[in-house]
Amino acid sequence: MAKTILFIEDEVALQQTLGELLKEEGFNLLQAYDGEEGLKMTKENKVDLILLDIILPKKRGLDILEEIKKDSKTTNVPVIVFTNLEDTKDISRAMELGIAAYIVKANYTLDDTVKKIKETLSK
Amino acid sequence: MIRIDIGFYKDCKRYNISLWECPTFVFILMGFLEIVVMLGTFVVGQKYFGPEVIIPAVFVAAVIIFISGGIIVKNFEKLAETNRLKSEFVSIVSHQLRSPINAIKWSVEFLNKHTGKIDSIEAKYLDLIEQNNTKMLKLVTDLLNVSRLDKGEIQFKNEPVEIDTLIRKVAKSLEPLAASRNVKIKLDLDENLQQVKGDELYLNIVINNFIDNAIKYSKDKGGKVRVRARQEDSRIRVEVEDEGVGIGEKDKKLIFSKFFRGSNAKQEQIDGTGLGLFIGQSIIKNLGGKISFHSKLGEGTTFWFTLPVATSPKARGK
Repeated sequence: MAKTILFIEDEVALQQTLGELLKEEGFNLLQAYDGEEGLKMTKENKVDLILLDIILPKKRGLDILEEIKKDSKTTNVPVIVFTNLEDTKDISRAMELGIAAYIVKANYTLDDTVKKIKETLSK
Repeated sequence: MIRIDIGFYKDCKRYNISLWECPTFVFILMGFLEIVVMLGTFVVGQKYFGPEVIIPAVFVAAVIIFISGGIIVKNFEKLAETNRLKSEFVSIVSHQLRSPINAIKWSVEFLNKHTGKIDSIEAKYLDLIEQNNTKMLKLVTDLLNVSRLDKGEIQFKNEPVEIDTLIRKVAKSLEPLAASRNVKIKLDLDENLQQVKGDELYLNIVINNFIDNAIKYSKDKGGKVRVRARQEDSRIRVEVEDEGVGIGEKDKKLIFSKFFRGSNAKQEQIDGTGLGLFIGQSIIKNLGGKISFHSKLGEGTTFWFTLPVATSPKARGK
């Protein structure tokens, strides 16, 4: 069965590139464009992987991550965090909370990103 | 006085500048100078004149020193503040620019993956967009790194790094650039090199800048870029040698300065920001290594750095 990925990212360009590509790859994709919507979708759907941007409107990525980890239903869902910058405090905090990986968007091509997503799902 | 003493250390830390550039330190120094000048005027004056001359003389000397000191300290403060604001501005702008640049990068890549729907003219212009976007990303990333190094924001890791694996990876990623300039990258790495102590992410930047420069400054002549890694006692030395245009005597002193570009670079219109070597030097110094170069105009340049080996080498997975 196709795996379900939740992509929480406010930038339309990223949703329409990476998002589209993931659909083409056969994943079942849920898309959220702000933090509150994203968090709601983690509670209402059974997802296999969450892609989470750090800087989001309405609710910060790190706050969402904290709630995902607190909720027993979602605590074991792997999360890949998206960021613009490597080695920041936000990333250290995200690692403490427990993430599968983080992706510095500027250093990753679309292909590399999809590869990383597949790797994480197959673990 | 005590309050100033505590305050100025904080000030200098905020501006992230050396003691000699620190406004408050200069202020204290001026104070001492003023006392010395007043005493000096008094001692010298006493030899030749009576009190009716000495008192106004000391007073005038004190006023002159006080006013000029005040002006100097004010200007120092302004400079330091401007520098801090500039760093902050660069950091915010470059950070903000990364998002849209990345959106362009992924959009172009997405289109290129669907080439069946793109004709050859579109592909050509997409290529142009991609090349220029890559340049822009490199520039913005360089600026961001400079500002973070300036502000001391980067927390360098101190981990064992397989330097030979890293060199191979970087060299491979620069193969296309080398091929387009008719340059051959030759690797000459000692076998069984120990790991170095450092930060892979930032060492990648240094090695990338070295090889990238070597290729670019080889110009149209083609030729070879040799990358060596040698074990030297408890250090590892990495060298990148080119057969390119070389560096002029005048430029040698300034080659590691921020935004400096050699006269060759300007003449030959070689791409660059003048930040790569500055960033490289800051990184290597922060990691406890040495960095330098030797060069002969028209014959070529060798840049090198050394780093300490990792004390407890992890078992190599080979």
